[in-house]
Amino acid sequence: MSTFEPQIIAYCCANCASSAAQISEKMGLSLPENVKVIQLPCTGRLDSLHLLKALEAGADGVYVAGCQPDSCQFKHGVEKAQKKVKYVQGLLPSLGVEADRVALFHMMAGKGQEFVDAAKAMVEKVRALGPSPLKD
Amino acid sequence: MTETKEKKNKGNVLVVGGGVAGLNAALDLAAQGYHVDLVEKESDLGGTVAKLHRLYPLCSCCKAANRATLCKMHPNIRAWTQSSVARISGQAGAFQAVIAGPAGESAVEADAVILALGVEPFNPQAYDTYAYAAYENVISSIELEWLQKPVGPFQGIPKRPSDGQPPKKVAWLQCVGSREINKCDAPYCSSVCCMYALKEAVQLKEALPEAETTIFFMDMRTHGKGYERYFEDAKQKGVRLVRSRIHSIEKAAGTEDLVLEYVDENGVKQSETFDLVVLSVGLRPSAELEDLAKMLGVTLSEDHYVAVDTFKPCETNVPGVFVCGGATGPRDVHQSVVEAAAAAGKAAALMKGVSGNGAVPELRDVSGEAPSVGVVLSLCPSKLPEFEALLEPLEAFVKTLPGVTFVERLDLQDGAAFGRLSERMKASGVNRLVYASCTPIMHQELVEGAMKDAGLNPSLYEFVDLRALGSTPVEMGRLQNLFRTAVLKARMLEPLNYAKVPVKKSALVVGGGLAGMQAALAFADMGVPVTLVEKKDRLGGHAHKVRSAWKGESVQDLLKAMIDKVSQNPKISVLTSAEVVGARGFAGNYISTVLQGGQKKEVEHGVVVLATGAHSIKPNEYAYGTHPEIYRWSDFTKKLIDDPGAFKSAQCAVFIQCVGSREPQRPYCSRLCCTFAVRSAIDLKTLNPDMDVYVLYREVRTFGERERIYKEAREKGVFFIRYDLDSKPQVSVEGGRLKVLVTDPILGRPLVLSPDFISLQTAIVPAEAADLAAYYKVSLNEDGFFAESPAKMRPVDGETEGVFFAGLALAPKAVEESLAEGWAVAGRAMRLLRQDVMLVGGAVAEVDPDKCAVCLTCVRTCPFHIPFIDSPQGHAFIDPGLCQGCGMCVSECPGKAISYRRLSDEHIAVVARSLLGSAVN
Repeated sequence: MSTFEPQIIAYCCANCASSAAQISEKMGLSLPENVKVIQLPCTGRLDSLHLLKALEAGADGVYVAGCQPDSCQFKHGVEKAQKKVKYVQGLLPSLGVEADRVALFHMMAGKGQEFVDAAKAMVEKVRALGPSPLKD
Repeated sequence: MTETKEKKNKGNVLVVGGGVAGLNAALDLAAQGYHVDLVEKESDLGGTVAKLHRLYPLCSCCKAANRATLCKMHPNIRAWTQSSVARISGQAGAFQAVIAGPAGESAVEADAVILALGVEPFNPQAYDTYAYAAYENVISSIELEWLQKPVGPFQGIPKRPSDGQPPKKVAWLQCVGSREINKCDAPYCSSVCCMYALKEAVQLKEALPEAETTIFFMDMRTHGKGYERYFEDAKQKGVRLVRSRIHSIEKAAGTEDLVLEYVDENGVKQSETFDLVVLSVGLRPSAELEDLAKMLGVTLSEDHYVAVDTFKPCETNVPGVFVCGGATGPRDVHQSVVEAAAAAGKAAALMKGVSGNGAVPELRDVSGEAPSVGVVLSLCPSKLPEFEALLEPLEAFVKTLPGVTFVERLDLQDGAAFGRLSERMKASGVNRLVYASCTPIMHQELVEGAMKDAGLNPSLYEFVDLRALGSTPVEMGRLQNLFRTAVLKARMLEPLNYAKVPVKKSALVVGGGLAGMQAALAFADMGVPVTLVEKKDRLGGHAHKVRSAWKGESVQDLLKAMIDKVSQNPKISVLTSAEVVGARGFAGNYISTVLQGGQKKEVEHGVVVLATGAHSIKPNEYAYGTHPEIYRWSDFTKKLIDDPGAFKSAQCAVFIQCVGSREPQRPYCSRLCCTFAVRSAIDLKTLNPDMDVYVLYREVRTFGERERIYKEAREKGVFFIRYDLDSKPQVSVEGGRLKVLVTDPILGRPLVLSPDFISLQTAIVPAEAADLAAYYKVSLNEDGFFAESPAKMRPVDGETEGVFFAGLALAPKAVEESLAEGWAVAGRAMRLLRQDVMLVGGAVAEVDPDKCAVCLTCVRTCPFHIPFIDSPQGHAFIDPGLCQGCGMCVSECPGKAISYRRLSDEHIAVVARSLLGSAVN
């Protein structure tokens, strides 16, 4: 188990999270290698299925990196994403999957550290959970 | 390359200063098809804003970086960094300048010049009693900004210079280098420091929740839109405020801590120790301004900024030379951006160019072609050395991927790089592009432009985000994964539909007050026909009740002149006693319904300006309505306009400030009332020096250069008495006489005043605009004023393209600010109106009529209220001209009837599988 490296999909907002990524780049920080970013025009584009499909495709964890609730360029996109994350979290236990494998983080455009910290926190959390029971 | 530029463009503008004002002016002009030479003395564009950590309301510093990148790469903008204007001569339409830079001197010709030299922070060493240079833990606010930046020295956690420990108790001293002539020659208020000190204190508490923060201030000037709420929030968050100007800073014996002595509001002497003291330094004009002004013959004000006629904002005394931002006086970012747009508008009006960027290249039909992908690697210069070793093997790998036709690197330092990319795409016949960079969003416009130039549908590209990656050889696996996925995704892309819609080159302006009339005149000046709709039976709006601007200039003279100009201008058709009752369409293509005299009439227009104004409330306090000599300020000044000697024989006058403003039910500052009361007090004192004039205030907000008249009023003997919300003045009528009871905070004793009249400076509330907001799909804020675009740093743009705002409908403001906004909207709108044809569609949501169950989910979901049910067709309809492409309705639609072909569900699933490829196999 000690060699387990979780594979994680991160759905990131093209505004706040992308700006945060810009700052982390300037700070010389890097994302853990096991986090794979898929950029969305707005986290409001996120569908519950995107979370489930990522788990089906072999991700051990999936998270959403969206805006602060009051600074979404599309007003309430991240709130929509929040609802879907909650819905999927509620669904997962009935499939025998831990709810914690899905999460949402609010980013701030200026905070590069948070962008990377969220990724690391997710990796650690999922590492503790072990491989996804949906794999093989 | 220079030659083609000159052929293509209508005129050239020299913009001096690459800060937020200069960047915006340059981009606004370039978007209208003009060429810009942008001169910046530093090695990077961005100016003061780039040095700040976050701006109110949230973070918009990234938007400045974004604009800097666009300026550097824009084909119509030549950015001269580390450069200055060595010599300049000539006149409007024919300026000759010599720009001195690292490569020597170059001659540049310009039709117009925009001075955007910005500001510099005051050097606090002049305050010997603050010992800025001697004590390590006394720092300037600009230094604190740097300490607070996540990319700064301590990852955003401020530390004390003396020992590198996080500070526990921090004090801000306001007005260092402002509102003072003894230690610095700056009688003006710098306008921005109250707000930035609050922001720095809030941010410091966020980084160090245990830290105590105290701001020592004279008047808390939070007069901007939303600023008062921020002030209240800051207090809630534990930022402490002490009303006192600190005389000197002493060092606590044996430590690097600092002792501040002050007299509190109860008159008791206090001594407090802090471990960090921040000097809130004021603004100074750029050091280069004076020489440049001299060369151009531009007059400077007594405060050494560019002198501007109050009613001609952004104009200098020299025709063809315009000014915006900090070069005109202390300005916040918001005002700087407004002025940048206005200056760009005025420069464009001067050049009167003909439409130049109307041609839209034909996009090749690639539907029958097998995917052929070009891959571009564009690395920031900062990335190159560490990444270098990975690049060659990476390129070799990418070449082997199925469908890849070429791989090349793009040098971002090279202004012609995107032009060459376009040629390469054409020559190689590729039909898809993968673009890898460290700034994927910032380059989107440039990449799409290059694709269009190559005749490729701009939706046929995919980007690879190279940020936040490591640079060690182990990264190769991750990079290969990213590129494999991106090429796979690019091959799946289908061209999106773009409809070509001709732009209706005319404007509709709603509201015939000063802002609306100024906007109409600006459009007319640029050759654009305007329909001006006014609800009342005459033009002018509330300006009929405004006597003078802050220096005493007659607003009535201005108003009369403007009404004449508007009425006589053949380009402007005025509809009075008329109202907009409906609208349909989108940017470039609106049809609005105007109701006039019972008749409905349709007006076609490309853009709309909402300038519906505001008015002052009728208060239900201070005995208003019980005595004829208790006025609202608008009625008070109306009386003075009609009879200038009306109050000449009065013995005592009382002005009461903040009537209905800055209270829980209306938590905003009405911005212009302090200046109004001070101006009126001076005028009354001039009329009758024996009159006792009292101004009862909560904070005196004579921001910027207006501070001069506050000083003048005190010199003339006007009494200023401060009151708090919990001890408001009491007004009563006794035996027909007015009586005002107020507690003097300095004497600590109640004062009884017997004025002949009282002027109540009542709150400004916006005209009812919910219907208009709904017609044009824009929003009102919680106070009923129009909300500007959430995209930030677009102070006069609505959230829907083609809709603009000016004047008091946005927020309370002074006459000159409304006039600037009138020009700013025209400047912004010309970006659209200079085009002959708009491409509509692209990354938008599309409804499949067969799947739509008319459940209204999309109608309820859309943040911009775009989808509606097309009843005859029996399904939801999303106008591609209006859709902003967030994709929210796509994922909410329960029937999956809405698709988003730029990033479909299938794309997401395939990309996820590909990215996880190594894990699943």
